[in-house]
Amino acid sequence: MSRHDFAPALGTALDHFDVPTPRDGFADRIMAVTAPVSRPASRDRRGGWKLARRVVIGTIAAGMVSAAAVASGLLGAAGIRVPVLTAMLAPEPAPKPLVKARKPVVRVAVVPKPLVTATKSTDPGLVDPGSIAPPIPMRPGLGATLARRAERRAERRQFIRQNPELVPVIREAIQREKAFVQANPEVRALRRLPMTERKAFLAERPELQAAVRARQAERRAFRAANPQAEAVIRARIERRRAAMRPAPVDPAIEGNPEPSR
Amino acid sequence: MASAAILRTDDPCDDDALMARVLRRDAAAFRVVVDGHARTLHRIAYRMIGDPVEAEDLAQEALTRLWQHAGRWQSGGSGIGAWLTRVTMNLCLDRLRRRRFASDEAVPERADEAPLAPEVIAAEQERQRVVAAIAALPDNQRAAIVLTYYEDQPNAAAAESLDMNIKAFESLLLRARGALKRALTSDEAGDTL
Repeated sequence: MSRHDFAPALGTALDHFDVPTPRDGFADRIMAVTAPVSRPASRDRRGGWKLARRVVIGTIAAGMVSAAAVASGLLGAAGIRVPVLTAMLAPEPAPKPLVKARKPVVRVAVVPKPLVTATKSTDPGLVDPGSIAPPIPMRPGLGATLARRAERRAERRQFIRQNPELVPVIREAIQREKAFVQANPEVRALRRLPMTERKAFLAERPELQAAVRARQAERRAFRAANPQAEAVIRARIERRRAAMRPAPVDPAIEGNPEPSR
Repeated sequence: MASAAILRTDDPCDDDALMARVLRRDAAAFRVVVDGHARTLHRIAYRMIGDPVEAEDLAQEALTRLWQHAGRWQSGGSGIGAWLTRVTMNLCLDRLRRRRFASDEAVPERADEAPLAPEVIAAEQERQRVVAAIAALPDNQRAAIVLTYYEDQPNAAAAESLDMNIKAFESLLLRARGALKRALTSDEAGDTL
């Protein structure tokens, strides 16, 4: 189908739709696209201002970024030292003298400690504002207890290293002892009593007395069966007893309250 | 302009050679293209848009795109004319779409500067009747009439310009002709009444 397939009457009517001639220079205007594009001069009248504006904006932006970095401690964390205005304007320290002068010797009078401790001042003006809460008082003798525990722990480790074959035997004995105490809780109260009061305590409790006797027989049998362990344990008990005894005092030393017996 | 004179633009092979020169920024070769196609593109745009100045702009835009995108030219195609027709038609349809969204103004008419002789008045009235009938068509039907009747393009080429298959284009053209015929005959009946 083409132009010739249209009905003649329709074609005649359509031919009335003519097209006006384009304006003069139509083709030349199209050809203008082929002209080389003239680049504007790099420095026109406003070029200097543009450059200055960029420099100012860049400087302000860099200053704000560096100030933010310094304020946040970012550069300090990275080990970068930024010269800040206050440090630059601060007065320089005086130069060190080349020759060292001898320090004058100052004799300070020794003030003896007062015999009576000063009582706390009730004057609110003398209260130390820095102290928020008083220090927690330490239980008397706690340091010695902790030291003794540490010493025993070290002793146990040394014993295990030196007598590894006795470890299972002693562990068995410990288990039996724990089972005995667990079965007879009053044993704990008995052991806290002095030796002189223990017989009376047991006399009032015949069942506990029987259990203690049975346990003593069991211990003896155990010692007989494991003489090596017995010797080691005995030696250890003796060392501990010796450590707990008070040190002998030499009467010849002046100032001792009473001679040792 | 001797080199321009020996170049023809109706042959795809010559079109490839011409575009090779355009790609090398040969202004003389582009002048050949402009001289060969600018008026055609202007006609198409004017009959689609109805505004002679806007039609010039659209023709110029299509040819400018050819110059700027010469590197995308694929040899062995339908030729420069088909490419430019397609681009111009797309620009027209796009412009019409935008114009429809932008305003409801009627298609501008040509200023009447001719003497008011009775024959001239009758001819102008007949022209306005046809222009109104064509302007009342849907855009794609108008495009089909413009390409096949006014530009005398075969259906296959016109269908390619509108990015349609041939069957769909023939159906479109049939509907366009029927609508145009109905519009013009009803006007004639109204005139006689």
